[in-house]
Amino acid sequence: MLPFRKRLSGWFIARLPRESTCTLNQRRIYLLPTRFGLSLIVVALAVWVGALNYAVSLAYALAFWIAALLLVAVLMAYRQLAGLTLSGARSEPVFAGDAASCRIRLSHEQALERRLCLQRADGEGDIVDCALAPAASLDVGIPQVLAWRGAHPYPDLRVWSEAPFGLIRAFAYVRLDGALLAYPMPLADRDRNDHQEGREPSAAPRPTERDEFSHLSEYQQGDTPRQIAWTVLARRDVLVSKRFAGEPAGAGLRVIAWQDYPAGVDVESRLSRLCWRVLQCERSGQSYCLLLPGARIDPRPFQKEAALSALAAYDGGQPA
Amino acid sequence: MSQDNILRCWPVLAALGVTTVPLLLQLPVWIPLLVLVMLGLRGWMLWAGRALPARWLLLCVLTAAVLVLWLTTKTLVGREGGVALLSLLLGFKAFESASRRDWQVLLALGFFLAGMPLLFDQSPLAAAWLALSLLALTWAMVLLAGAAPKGSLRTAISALLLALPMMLVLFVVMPRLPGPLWSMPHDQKRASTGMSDEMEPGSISQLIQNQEPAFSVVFDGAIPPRPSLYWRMMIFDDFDGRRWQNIRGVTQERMGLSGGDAVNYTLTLRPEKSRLPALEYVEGPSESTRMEPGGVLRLEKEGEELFRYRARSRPQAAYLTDLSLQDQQFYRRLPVGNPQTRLLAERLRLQGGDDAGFVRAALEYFRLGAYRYTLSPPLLDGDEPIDQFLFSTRQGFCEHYASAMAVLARAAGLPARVVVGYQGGEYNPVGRFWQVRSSDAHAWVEVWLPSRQQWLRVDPTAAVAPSRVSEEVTQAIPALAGGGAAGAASANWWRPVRQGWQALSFSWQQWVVGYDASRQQGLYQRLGLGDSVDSAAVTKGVLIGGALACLPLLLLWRRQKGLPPLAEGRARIVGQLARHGIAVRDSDGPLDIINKSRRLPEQEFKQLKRLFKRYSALRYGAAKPDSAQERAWLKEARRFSVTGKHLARGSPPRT
Amino acid sequence: MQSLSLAYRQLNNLVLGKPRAIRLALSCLIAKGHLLIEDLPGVGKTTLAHGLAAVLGLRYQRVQFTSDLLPADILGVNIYQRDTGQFHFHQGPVFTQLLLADEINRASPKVQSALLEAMEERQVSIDGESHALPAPFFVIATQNPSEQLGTFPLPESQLDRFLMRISLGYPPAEAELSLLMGQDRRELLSAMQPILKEGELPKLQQMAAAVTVSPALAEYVLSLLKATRGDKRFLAGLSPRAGLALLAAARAWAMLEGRDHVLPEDVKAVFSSVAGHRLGLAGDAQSELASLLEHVAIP
Repeated sequence: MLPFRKRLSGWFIARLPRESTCTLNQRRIYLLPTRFGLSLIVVALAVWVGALNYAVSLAYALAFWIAALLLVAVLMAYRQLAGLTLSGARSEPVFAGDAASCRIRLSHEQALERRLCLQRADGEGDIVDCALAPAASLDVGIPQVLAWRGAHPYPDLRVWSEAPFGLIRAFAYVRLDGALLAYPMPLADRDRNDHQEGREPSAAPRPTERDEFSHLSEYQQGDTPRQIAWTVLARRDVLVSKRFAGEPAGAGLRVIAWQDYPAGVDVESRLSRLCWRVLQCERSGQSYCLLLPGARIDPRPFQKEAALSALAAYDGGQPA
Repeated sequence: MSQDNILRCWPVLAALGVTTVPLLLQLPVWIPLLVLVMLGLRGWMLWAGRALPARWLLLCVLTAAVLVLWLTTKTLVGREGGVALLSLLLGFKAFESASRRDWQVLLALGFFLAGMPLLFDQSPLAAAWLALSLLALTWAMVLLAGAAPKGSLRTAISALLLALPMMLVLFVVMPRLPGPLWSMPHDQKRASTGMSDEMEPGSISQLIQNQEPAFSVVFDGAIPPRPSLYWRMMIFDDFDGRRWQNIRGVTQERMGLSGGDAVNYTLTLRPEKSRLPALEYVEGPSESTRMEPGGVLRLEKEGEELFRYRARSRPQAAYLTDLSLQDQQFYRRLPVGNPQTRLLAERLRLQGGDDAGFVRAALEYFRLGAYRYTLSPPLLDGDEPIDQFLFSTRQGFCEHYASAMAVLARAAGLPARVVVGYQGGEYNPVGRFWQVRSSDAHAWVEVWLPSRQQWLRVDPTAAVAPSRVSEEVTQAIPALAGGGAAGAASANWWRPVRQGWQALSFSWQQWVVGYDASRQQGLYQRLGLGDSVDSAAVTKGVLIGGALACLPLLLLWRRQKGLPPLAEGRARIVGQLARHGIAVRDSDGPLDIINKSRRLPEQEFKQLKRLFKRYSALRYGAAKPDSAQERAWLKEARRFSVTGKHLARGSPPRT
Repeated sequence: MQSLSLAYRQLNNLVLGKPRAIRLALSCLIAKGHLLIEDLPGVGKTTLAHGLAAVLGLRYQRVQFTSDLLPADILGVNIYQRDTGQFHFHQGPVFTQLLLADEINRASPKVQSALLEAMEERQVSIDGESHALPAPFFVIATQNPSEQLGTFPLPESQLDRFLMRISLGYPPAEAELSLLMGQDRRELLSAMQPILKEGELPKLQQMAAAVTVSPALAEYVLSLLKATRGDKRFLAGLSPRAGLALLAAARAWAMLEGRDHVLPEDVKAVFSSVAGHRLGLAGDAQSELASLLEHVAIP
């Protein structure tokens, strides 16, 4: 993007508040002719000059018709954006360093079909093309690399449309008030998960008769057929495994604790290692309990999400 | 190339093809044909997924084509050459188009190309084709911009229709600047259907078979009787024994008119060789016209654009002028030959007594001499053509009679000349104008009477076939009246259709093709926009006209068709609420909306509550939708509006 | 209908500051569903269950579940009668119109399974002999959150035997104040009179089943189900049976609201109670469902 345009878009964006939902209206929508539009203006002028010079009355009509068509195109391009509502949808968390898909919900009440493009306002990243059916809504994802752990604000966005003629571009800037969550980047820490090394996943502890059923969780490679919840599979057609209360009994429950590291280790690498260990336990089906200053995440459904979110949101003893 | 590319680019090629078609009639046929073939070839390459040809190859072929063009038309500028060059370039540009931007450039050029045929032809048909071209181009534009094929035609049509009123307003209101910015090189004369520079047997009868309109006339007041409608255009003063021509033997002629009532009229035509017809006898030149010796009007500047001029004539007046002896001598010149004719002239001279008596006797001779008025007379191939006509074949057309009469007069010692122009015309009751066609072409004779110092009009054809001047030529000539190309009498139903079409083309000529600065000024005055086309008046016109032209746009904006009534009404109300800072989501039900709107003013809130109670009952209370009730609800919902200005944005909800 | 709102008011006096939970509980019973109340001890679960039984005028039994409870303790047992020389079935506490299963997650999974089976089939099979349970038959189970020690969480696959799972939570401050200052709940309970006459409850249930569900609303329910199925936050989406349960609960709720047709808001009101436990969400993970509701458009 040219520096000038960057400055211009910066100026547009700086005037905008962050909002959870934004409906585009005449105060937000800007209109400019595209290169094609400009060339058609030139054509209209040329035809007009020709009409003047050769005294061809119908050529005036042609020149004016092209001009009027451009005006109609302005209106139609404006209509492509007017009344469009953008809001943040739920975005899947990723690990720091990965590209998250920043989910945006587009919706409108109008009876026209819209064709829209979205991109980050700084002009980086891919352009997302989409078509919105009449009076419908649609979720789109804007790729965004999250460089560090924690909650990231939604990127500033530019939404535009050149439909239906490609003559006029209607565009608007949007700042949505959403957050993208980045878990810490996992950092291998084999010393503290040494018991996992060299063990085949299939060697996970087999449930015995007296083990009590605890809960269901996603099927993982290596779960024994006995562990598979066949009734659930039959009813809902999803593969889940039973977890048994006896599994972690005492020695089985791995404690992953903040205090496992000496005081000198800095926060981020600590979190990264904890993250790796959590993932490691999840992968092998090992029960674990994450201990952070001020928080404790015990085995329970969706423990992984809870643990990773706690790591992502950690801010010095007062986890969110 | 991909399916998508074909879908996007074929329409562009097709639209360019449509735009090129009318040029087939105007340019040497091979040029538009070549362009069409190139467009087709490009389309095939898209379909077959062929790579574009190398640029040097294109350049070679283009150079060759331009060379051939230059060799055939001798020019690359001007109207014909320029248009041909442009369309060739366009065809080659198609072979260079790969990216979407290239195709857009091509499409923009297509819009320019659409104007080209107008340089040659501005008939209603040309306008219709222009509209068709525009539609094709706009449709291609919509598809090129990536729209789904379904509904794309509708988008194009509606955009053009929405633009139409605005175009009309601009057309009417935008000031017409006078004069060309640069002069355009004139093309070689095209084969003309008009009058030739000389008159020999057969030169006018060719015209007679041509039904093409020559010019149209609107009289201001009373219309002179049809037999006196002699439209004077050229005079021929020299006879070489076979053909008449104008050698301008007399360069000065003072013209005086006496008697007769004056009529004012406006004449519209596309002048050929600056010749302007005028009703006999015209009083004097008007703006941008001049009088030539012999009382004929000429256009001041060379030009072939449609021209309209007002003139004032006195059809019943006497054309008085004094000829010097030398001039009289000139008008009596005759080549040797035609001895029988000379004898006849002397006999008639004796018979008639004085000059006027001779003319009367001559006309009497024609009337009683068993002459026949026909379009296909026997060929006059003898050495003495006038003798042959007068005494052996006795069949002829106006040029024969006029020629013979002039020779008779000169042989009798009277100055005489042949006048060529049109006689009569057809009154169009629909458009209230006179249409004069090529078939009305006529030739007559003027004889100078020394005793009265007057050029006297003598029409021997009228003596032979009186119906020629009282009726249309098609009625006068049995061959024309009895069917054939112009068989008007046979089909009475056809006449009103023809007249309607003529009226249409007349109005078209008057108001579209001939809409110029003066017309515009007249219209401005009539519309009350101002006495002259100045900036204030134009601004006023643009503003008022623009507002009117925007009405359909407004309607489009308001329209929310396509949604079922309940959804449309809900969307409307939600829009009203959004305007006042109440954001309603898709996931909000009727009760949610009522709850969110509690901070509305009392009256509006009550109305909203009632509306959504009813909405709930219609949408969720019935097992089957009731469309009549739903429409009734929509009517009510349309009336809902939040007018209260006091409703501040973001004020705390009243709970 | 009048008696229903009277019952509702009575219950509101008994369990203070929880109108929504009471409304949900009532609509659950009107929709012929079993109710699971999940919360910490002492917030009034048992009081609500007792109150419901008393107000609805149902015969009720209460079983305090403990880890040493056996299935026979609930279902009943065949006892050999010496005088007749035959086995005689001795009915357990489950043979009642309303069973209060207090702290159901303290019992062993075997006991839980036995009860859940009885709930599903509405009959008890002992030694190959079936014994029908009385009608109406409701189970109101209470449980403590599973994280507490010494509890056996209900098997997830069987949780959908309960139409709804609700939690009470701490009462709001002013309600708690009047709770502290007011009469003893036990006294209030014992003083409560049945409000619904015999045979009135089945009639209400029939009325609820007749509440109109328009095509538009069915579409909404369908899109809710679809949204749970496509969402990675949930292990498995809602089943078609869950959809039916959702409609039944929404019908009852609509009737309690005094409407003869179901609005999307009714579905929303019961959605988290009906769907939460079926989607394997913890009682406090309801925000997921709230955001789901916010994003599913109402057709």
